[in-house]
Amino acid sequence: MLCKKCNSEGTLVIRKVFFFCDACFIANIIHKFRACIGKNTKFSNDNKSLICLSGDISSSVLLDLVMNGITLNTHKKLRISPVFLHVNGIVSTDDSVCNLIMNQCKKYNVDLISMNISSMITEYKNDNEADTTVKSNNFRMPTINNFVNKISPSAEKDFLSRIRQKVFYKMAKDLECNSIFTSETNTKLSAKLLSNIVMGRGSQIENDIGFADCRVKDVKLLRPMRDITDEELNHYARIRHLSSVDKSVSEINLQSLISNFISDLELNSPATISTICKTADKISSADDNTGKPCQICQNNLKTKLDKLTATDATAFSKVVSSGDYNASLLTHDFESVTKMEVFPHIFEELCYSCSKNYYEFKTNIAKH
Amino acid sequence: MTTLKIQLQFGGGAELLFDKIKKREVELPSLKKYFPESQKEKWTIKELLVWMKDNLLMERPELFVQGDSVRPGILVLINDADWELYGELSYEVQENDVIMFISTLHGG
Amino acid sequence: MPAVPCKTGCGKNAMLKRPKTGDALCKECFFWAFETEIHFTITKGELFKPGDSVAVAASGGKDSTVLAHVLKTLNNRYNYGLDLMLLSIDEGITGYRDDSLETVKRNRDDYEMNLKILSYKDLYGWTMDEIVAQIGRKNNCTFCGVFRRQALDRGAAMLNVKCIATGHNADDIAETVLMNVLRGDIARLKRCTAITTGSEGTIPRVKPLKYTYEKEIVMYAHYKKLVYFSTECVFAPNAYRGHARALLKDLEKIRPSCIMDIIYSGETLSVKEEVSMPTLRVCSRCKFVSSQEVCKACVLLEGLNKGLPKLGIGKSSKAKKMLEEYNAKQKAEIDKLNYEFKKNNCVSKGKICKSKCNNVSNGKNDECNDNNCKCSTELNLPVNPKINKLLEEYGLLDDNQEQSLNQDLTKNGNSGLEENTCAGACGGIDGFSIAF
Repeated sequence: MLCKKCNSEGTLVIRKVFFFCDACFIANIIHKFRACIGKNTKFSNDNKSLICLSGDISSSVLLDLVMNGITLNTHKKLRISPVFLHVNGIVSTDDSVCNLIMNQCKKYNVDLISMNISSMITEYKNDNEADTTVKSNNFRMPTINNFVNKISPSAEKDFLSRIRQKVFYKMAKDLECNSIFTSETNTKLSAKLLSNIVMGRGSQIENDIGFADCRVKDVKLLRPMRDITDEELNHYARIRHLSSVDKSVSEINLQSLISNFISDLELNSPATISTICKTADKISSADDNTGKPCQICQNNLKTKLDKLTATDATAFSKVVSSGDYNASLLTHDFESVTKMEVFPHIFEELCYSCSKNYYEFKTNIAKH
Repeated sequence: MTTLKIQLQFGGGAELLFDKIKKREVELPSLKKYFPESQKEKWTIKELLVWMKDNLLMERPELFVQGDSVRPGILVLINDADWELYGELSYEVQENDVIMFISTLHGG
Repeated sequence: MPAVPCKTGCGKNAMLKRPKTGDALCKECFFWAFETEIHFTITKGELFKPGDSVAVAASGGKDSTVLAHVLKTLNNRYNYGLDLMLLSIDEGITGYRDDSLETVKRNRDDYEMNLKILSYKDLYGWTMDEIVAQIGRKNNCTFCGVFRRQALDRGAAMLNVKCIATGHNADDIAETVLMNVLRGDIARLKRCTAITTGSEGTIPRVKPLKYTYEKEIVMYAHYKKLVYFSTECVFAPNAYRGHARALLKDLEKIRPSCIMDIIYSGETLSVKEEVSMPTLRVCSRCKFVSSQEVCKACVLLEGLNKGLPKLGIGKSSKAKKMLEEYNAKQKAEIDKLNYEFKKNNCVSKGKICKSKCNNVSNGKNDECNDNNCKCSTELNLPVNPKINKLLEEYGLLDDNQEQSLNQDLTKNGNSGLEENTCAGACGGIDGFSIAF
């Protein structure tokens, strides 16, 4: 089998179809990475970019690609000045991850900002009481650990990815970066799209899955690896001898179920992932960006709603099941009173999905 | 070490997996006899499913069981009540219980 | 395990856990909650107007049986003033629909509603059994779904009703959302969560069970002892194993509320303005709603009748190409015949030309379309009298075509392992989902 580029001996096969030799494959991936950035953004020389590293394989590859890009001397040079960041301790503190990233950066001779999330928590008031009794719109976020201990694994996974993103934005602002690079591949993004749908975040897809998330003024979050698959990632890391931490954990949550589903489907019909990602490009957030953002996920609170949505149906279901029903609920006062029970702070401080997570937290506090 | 008599019922298309018989009386042997390794004393739904798979389900078991539970989409009723109220797999089967399996997966 | 008390505080023991909210209810409170929620959906979603005549799409399955029962109940309880009737489609599948139609007839008697049964045979001239004999089992669900969708419209027009109520439940809709994401169908993704569908000039369809979980529908039917028909379509034994359905059921197991979340996602997502969406118009042939110049049903039908059963399968551009090839071939044959006639000096002057044409066509089975010459050749007819008749009607016969048709049949006959496409198209909900 011959390399499809240079006709020398092929050393690897992609999607059981294309053969490459190592050199052509690496060139191809570098090209994909550069093309993805080039197609979508123009950088000026002084662009400071926050490169977010997590220690997993995609982060190792991102680091390598960025370093390769900025050390080039041709016109293809990546014109950014990178700032490398690792945020640790969102759930647990694992020194091995920290050390690995530290060593990786040492190898490339770059500095790493390693920080613990606890230094960020000050923003969220230490509010163990939460507001289980006060029915006001003064939403106050409980501490992260307190929160995730009282929600389901699926909600936890959803919540943490939002918090992580929020930290990235905060750090970018503090470090005066005008862009953020994350290392999501198209395999991850397709799973993220389905997870978004399943968590009720359909209207947030454009910013969560697209190449650029421009919600926050002055800082763009970019996903330059969105055209690279996990399969390619593994080959790249192997050829370039990149180390990474394997974070495969067998949790039972919606997100891991979806990831497995997609990789199984991709085995049999290899167009699945690219089809899903193409769908993402056609979905818009559609709402104006002037409104107030959700306190947790930063997404716009204002979404265009029909006269009857799943929110109403769920809230109504809760009322009829609790025996508090009276006929007047079929009229207007249903809206304000009951919706807030099941969807605390919805459309005021929190979006649908974050409100649901918060409700889970509240009910679990009430139980204990 | 006595046997346990229960009734099994099938509906919604689930009976198609069990020779199209909608109701049957079965007698479970003592748990220790059937599962010598088991630490438990009493039959729960979990063991019942294994027993059914071994003794009643002749073909395509994947349409009935998934992992150690029933395939999602098959409802289980214990004496006409939703098994989700009774601990699902961990419910201890009692003498004369009626356990019903209703498929929601079959169109119509 | 101690008994759980009913959440409403009525004092009875709970009989089921509601997937939407996790609340446990007793039978009586469940009935009441179940029905009241559908009432809420109907009133809040403004599905009906007083005095409307409504056709309930009835398949004899759990969803349509429960829908008919609940609509009847609510119509009486809340004085909707609706004129309800049942509308059933008989695809002509031996061993499947004939049994379920018996169930529908029982519904008719139980709920005292009028019943109209329309058959594919009446509407299209083909039963599903006959279609399967042509196309094989690979793509038959495409035919079934497309034909049924239009059949409901036609039936509703005949009954002169204001709208059609279908039995799509929350699981069906969530499943369709997932399916449309997986296959990148952005137009349907946006449309499929709408509670009312149908553009101007068409009879709207409404989904009163849009927010009702499949589990509750089955439990309601079970506790109310409603008789429904449950079996797989004999042509689509694996239909319900569609990928999206399997995924949804696994997801529901982990987080039952996710079905509502998926529906909410579908309701709130919007499509970028620059993405071109198909516009709905009216089919130039049958005058029913279509996104193309000629609707899918007409294309499929033409394919069947011309002996090109694969015509409507796949993209419309492919169909166009096939038709062009077909027409080009026809034209070439005609030109050739004309040429031969001229060469043989066959000028019949309006009279039927027998002798020479016979020689020329030489068993080619081409009917001469030349105005000056009507050839009544002895046709070498295909074996199937059914195709025979149709081909004759359309005046379309030729050797090659017959051959390719036979090849198709053998090909399909041999490939028993071919994956059934119904898994995606009708996902085990009786083919209705194609109507999204």
